[in-house]
Amino acid sequence: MKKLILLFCIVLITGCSKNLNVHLPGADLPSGGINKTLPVINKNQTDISATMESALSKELEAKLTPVSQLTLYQNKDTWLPLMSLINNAHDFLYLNFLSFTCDERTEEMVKALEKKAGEKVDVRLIVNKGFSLLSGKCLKRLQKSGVKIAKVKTHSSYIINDKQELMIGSQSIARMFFNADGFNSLDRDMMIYAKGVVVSEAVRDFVSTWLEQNPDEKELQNVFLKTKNWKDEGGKARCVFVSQRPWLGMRDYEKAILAAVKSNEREVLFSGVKVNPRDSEIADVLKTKSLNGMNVDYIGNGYLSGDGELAMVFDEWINKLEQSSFSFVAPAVMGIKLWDNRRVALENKKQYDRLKGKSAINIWTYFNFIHHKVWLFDSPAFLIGSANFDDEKFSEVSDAGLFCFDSSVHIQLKAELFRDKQNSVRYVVKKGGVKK
Amino acid sequence: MNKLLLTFFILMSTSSYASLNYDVKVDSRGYLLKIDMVFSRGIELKRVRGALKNGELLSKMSPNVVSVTNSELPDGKYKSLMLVRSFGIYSRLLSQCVDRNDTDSWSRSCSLQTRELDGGKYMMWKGDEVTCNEKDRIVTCHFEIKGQARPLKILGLQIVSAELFSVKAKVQALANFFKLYTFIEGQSLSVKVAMADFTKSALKTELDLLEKEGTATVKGKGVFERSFSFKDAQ
Repeated sequence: MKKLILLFCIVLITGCSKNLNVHLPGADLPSGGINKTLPVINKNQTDISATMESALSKELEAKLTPVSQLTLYQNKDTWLPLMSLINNAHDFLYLNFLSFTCDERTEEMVKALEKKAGEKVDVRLIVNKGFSLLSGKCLKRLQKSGVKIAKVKTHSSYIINDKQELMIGSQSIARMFFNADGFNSLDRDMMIYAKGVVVSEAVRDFVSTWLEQNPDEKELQNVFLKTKNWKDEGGKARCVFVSQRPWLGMRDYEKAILAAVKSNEREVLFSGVKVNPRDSEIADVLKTKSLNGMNVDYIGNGYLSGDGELAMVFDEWINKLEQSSFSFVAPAVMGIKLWDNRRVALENKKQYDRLKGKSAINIWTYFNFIHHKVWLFDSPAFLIGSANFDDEKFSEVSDAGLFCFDSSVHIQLKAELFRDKQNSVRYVVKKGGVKK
Repeated sequence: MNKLLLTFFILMSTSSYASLNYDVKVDSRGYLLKIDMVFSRGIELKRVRGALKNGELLSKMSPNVVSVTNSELPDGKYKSLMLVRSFGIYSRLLSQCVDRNDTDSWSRSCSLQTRELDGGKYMMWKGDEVTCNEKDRIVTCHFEIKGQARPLKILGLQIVSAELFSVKAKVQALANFFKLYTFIEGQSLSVKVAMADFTKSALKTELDLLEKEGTATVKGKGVFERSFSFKDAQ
């Protein structure tokens, strides 16, 4: 037994010390401190819409349509529009989220969903199969109230109703997301609200995902068919709902990014929890274009950002423990968290080196946990959704996003992302390594 | 009452007689398969093209197609590599294709590269063409698949004649087209629903009949011809 413990310790020490001399991305805070003020963005004169819309139209199955309302929301500010969208539902209310948790912060939303189900609104919730294990009790409670639930390989994050309303991005339904302001120890996130016939495509995505799990509920096709006859209210902004459902070979999300990157001219700024360029054509185009003068920036996570949702849970535990009589356990949990941060940072480093290789792409690591997955192209094009730029995940899980052309939201988004960039540290490949 | 009226208008706006016709001929000079599809009003050309070009979808629907990988060539053409499994044997079939894509039409023509990979083992030559048009919110597609199969031999001994092999191959091809048609008619929403619908449809019955009659006729006369028309009132 003693020999076994000794062997275990040797393996652990060797494993942990293996990469101690490696420079980890994002191990420092930005030298200028954390900036909360939004930079002023000047309106761009040139417009990429015509070229890019034509490129998207050739590649995508879904169509660009006018959107009568388009509003960008940050972090906890998403709560009110989400609640309003729920309360506005009359015939159906469909939610597709990676995870759904019942806690003190989301209780009001849970009650609202229960109320809607009680009023005979068709309330359906798609959650990720794996994550659903963490909220079994919550899902049972919803089911009991009449909310129908499907557990699939989803990574999407959106909610839709029969009033042509959509809210989409990367947040899940859990207290952390609605307590986050982008600067506290929680995540940095975004969602966008859209109203218009574009929501019909979101209904298609939802119904298709639902039917793959429940093929007997064929009548759900009629809900989608009805939305094809929705009245188009028009609007200045134009959007297309892009969906990634690998089980159908539906890859509009991926195709939209590729088409946009190909037709883009001056700058691309994109973000995500993680990146995995592998053999992706998108990465090849980004690399070539960056060498030919296009500015390409990626904002991701570093050592300080930690392991996403898990890091947020760790922080909560540590805070709770520190205020309890078990405060002596807090340093141990902190130790595990830091070990996990290091593990994830090493993986990120590997991918960042791959993305930076043979290119002039700039990589930035945020001081906190970046959770938004946004692509900002030349004005007025942008994409907000749930998919990381991860070539493997593109074939494993379903994702959804909204690709839009709108100059005012573009300016707002650019300001947000520029501030995120200011609050990040530029990743530099250091050969030989510096211990952090 | 309002709901009834709404349902009526929805039905009216989406209704049209979707149809599928095919004509197949097999003889000693080769085979020719022609298919005409008319989709229900409102089904967009983008969706039809998306499904017909979707190799991943095909591999989900067909028990023989393992994967389809496309790689672009510099002159606008592309190569399409299909990995097929038949009787436990894997074969790699490489085709060269070209697409023409407009707002209201899409066409593709492919020719099997019999000198590369495994194509030449089974076929002397093979080519297929599809043309789809959208007019008044109705999409129509015409397919022509022609070629000449080789007899299947093991150790120099003929196991299956070229004509019988052609019939078997066309039954498989039609099964794939029928499933894709059912999928598109179901708004491209679910493979599972489409497969279930197909199994219960007149198309499946026709396919079973085609295989039975085709096999028997071609064994006797060496020639086989059949036409079929399917109309589906939505």
